[in-house]
Amino acid sequence: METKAAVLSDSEKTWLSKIGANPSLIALIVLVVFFSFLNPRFFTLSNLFNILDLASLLVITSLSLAFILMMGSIDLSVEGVVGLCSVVASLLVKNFSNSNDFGFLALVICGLVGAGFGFLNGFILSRFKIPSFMVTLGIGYITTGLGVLITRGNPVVITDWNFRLLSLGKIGFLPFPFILALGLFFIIWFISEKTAFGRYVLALGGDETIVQDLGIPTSKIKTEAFLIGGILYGIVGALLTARLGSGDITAPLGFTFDSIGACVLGGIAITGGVGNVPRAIIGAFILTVLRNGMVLMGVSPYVQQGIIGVILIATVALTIDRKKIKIMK
Amino acid sequence: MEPVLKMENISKTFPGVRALEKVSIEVFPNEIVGLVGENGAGKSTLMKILAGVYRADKGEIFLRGQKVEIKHPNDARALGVGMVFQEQAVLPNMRVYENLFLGREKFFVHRGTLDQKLMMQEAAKILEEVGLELFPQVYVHELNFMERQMVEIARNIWLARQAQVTYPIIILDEPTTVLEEEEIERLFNKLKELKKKVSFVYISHRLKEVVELCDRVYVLKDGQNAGCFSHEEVSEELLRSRMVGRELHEEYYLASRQRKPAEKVVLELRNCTKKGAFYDISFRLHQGEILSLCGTVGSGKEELCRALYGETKLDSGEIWIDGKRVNINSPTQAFALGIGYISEDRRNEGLILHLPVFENITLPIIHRLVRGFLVRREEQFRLSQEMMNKLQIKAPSPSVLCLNLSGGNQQKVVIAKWLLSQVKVLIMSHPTRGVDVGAKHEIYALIREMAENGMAMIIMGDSFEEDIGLANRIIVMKDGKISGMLDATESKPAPSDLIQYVV
Repeated sequence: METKAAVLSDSEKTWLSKIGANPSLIALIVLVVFFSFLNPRFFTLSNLFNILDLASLLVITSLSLAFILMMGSIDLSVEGVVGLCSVVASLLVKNFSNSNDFGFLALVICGLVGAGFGFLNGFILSRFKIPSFMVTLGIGYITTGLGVLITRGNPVVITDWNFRLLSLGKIGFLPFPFILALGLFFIIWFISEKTAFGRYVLALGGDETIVQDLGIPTSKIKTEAFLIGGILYGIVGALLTARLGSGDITAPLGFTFDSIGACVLGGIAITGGVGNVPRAIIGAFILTVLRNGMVLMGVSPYVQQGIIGVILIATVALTIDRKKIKIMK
Repeated sequence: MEPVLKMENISKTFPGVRALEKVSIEVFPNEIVGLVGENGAGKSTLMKILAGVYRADKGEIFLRGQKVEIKHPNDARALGVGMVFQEQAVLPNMRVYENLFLGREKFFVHRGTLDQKLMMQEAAKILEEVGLELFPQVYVHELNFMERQMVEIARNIWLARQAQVTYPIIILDEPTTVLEEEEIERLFNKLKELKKKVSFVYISHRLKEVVELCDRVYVLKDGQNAGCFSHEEVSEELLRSRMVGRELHEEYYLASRQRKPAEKVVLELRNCTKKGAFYDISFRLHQGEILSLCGTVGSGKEELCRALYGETKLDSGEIWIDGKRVNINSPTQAFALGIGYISEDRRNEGLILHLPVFENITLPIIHRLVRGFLVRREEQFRLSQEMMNKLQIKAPSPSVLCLNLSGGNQQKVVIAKWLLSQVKVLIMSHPTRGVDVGAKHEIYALIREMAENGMAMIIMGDSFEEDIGLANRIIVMKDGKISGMLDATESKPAPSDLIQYVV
């Protein structure tokens, strides 16, 4: 019997089916077409670049949630960690409150701070066997509290214009944050598809017991996944400060909901074990396009949120794996 | 020829139960060895010791002539021993080649990244070897049960090869319970092909299959060797006769107190079916009758009882209670209709361990003890004390936490609870499991008394002897259907009569 030589045909598969020509991608295209018809200003170069810029931060946080959701966990600490890192960044670069001037080093330090809290998330989860829902919620509160403590509740205004280029600068026509997001996307995608660690993350979401029984160190994997998430949040925090020109603990409000929503809309199951990194990105763009489109249509922000909520519930209802959760609490 | 595997004088005791006593088996290269025995005879325990899940208390294991210590499943794998359980150990959300090498990716890692092309090529090779015509990049959730089993077998073969073992052994635990006829044929053909490279230990209740497939068959009974037969000598009757045959002490089960049940039919099932579990079940249960439900794992008896108690729903069929047709959609409804259920997992499902005896005993009828808004604590106490005296539950007072009672007394509390709530039909799943001999006898007496008072009971016992000893009538289920109904009131059948319906 001839060996299935088609083994190698995987590389011949079109890029479309590699991402998984899936409903989400089609939904995104439909949305773009839809909004283009409704409002001529939508499909202009300047608006499209605007979308890329707006989506950047969401893309990065969604990368983290993608990993964590595929693993079967959840991360509710996004806002807290991003906010704290945003505050930290603002205090490290030239600002009105102190005499620090770390410049771009602040980005690195933010990454480290985020990594620290990410590590805490993973460590407490695996060591003390507390559900990720609880751990990350707690860490979220702690980080928000720390942020308020450090700034005494007031935003810290920065004066380092070079630092602000991180978010306001462009390379050619492309906004810098988008390029950064793109770069991070490729890195995370690579880790997910091409490393044993990335594969284990997905396996854990499938059936943790089986993975454990094979002697694979599940605690280590969970900790590392959350650690990576933390680094991403740190970077977003720095970018946020650069964009706003100040470190505001309340700025990332809604990031958690949006990041999880983006993953779900892209087709990553909230029950774990299903999905891949590109889907999170598609989801992030769906969300951004939705918002942008609705703004251009003049829809009130409150109605926008409601519409997004309805779409999310519908998506989860369609993608949830009911066999895994027998009793809905 | 030297045996690949030799397990010598293996003994293992669990708290209260002697699972294995000086059991020895041998497996030679290129053979399929069958392992049969009743539930609890020790087959799974013996194989789990080999697979590293349990450790033997006494005895030695030799692999390829060398004495070995297997402390953990990884040790077993490193020695070329793999086990394919009934509950599958493949990840449906990942691809075949990822499953094949799960945990051993280091062989394919090149500067930190996985060489997936190489993985797929290796996978294609091994899939071809086991005769699976699949693309390695197929997701496991697209495969059927048999294909998934073959993937597991392939994984084990590959692992053994990585460990550079020349004669790997794979243990198959009940591989055919969920397979269709033609899939079983295909599986057997594949196994016969594969036995040229791998030796298999085939654990199964399906004697017909064992007789057809295996080169040799070992029988275990009560944790001991009960014979080893070659393919030429073996037959289903021979195996059955070796699997049972203890002495039946009639009075242990108080058979003399057995009454003929009343004429009145309290429960009737007509053509009850639940897809995947049981099919076309019909029988009548009379007032004061003790009905034993027999069958091995996969017979459907447990599922039938769960449906009767409202935990699951029937797909079709009718249930009649006291001459009226009913629908049982939840345990609450079942109880309201007069059906009670004692689970074999009494610690988790039978009792609330952290509550005292009186709370547990009166739990189902608490609404009857209410005056105004308040529960009458004195009534609870009084009724519980009555029950405790009647059933001889050994505890200083009804306020003792159930946690602190012995297994036998805990079980009596569970029975007391249902007795007090005066159900019409009581379903008991393994009522004397984990209970010492003396307490077992007391529980049998209780069962007799409840029958005398008119309660109808459906019992799933721990052994044929128990089933036969207690019953007025025995219904045997096999593969979801009723395979036999025997009367046990006029005269008691022998276990050997029973077993032909069971396996």
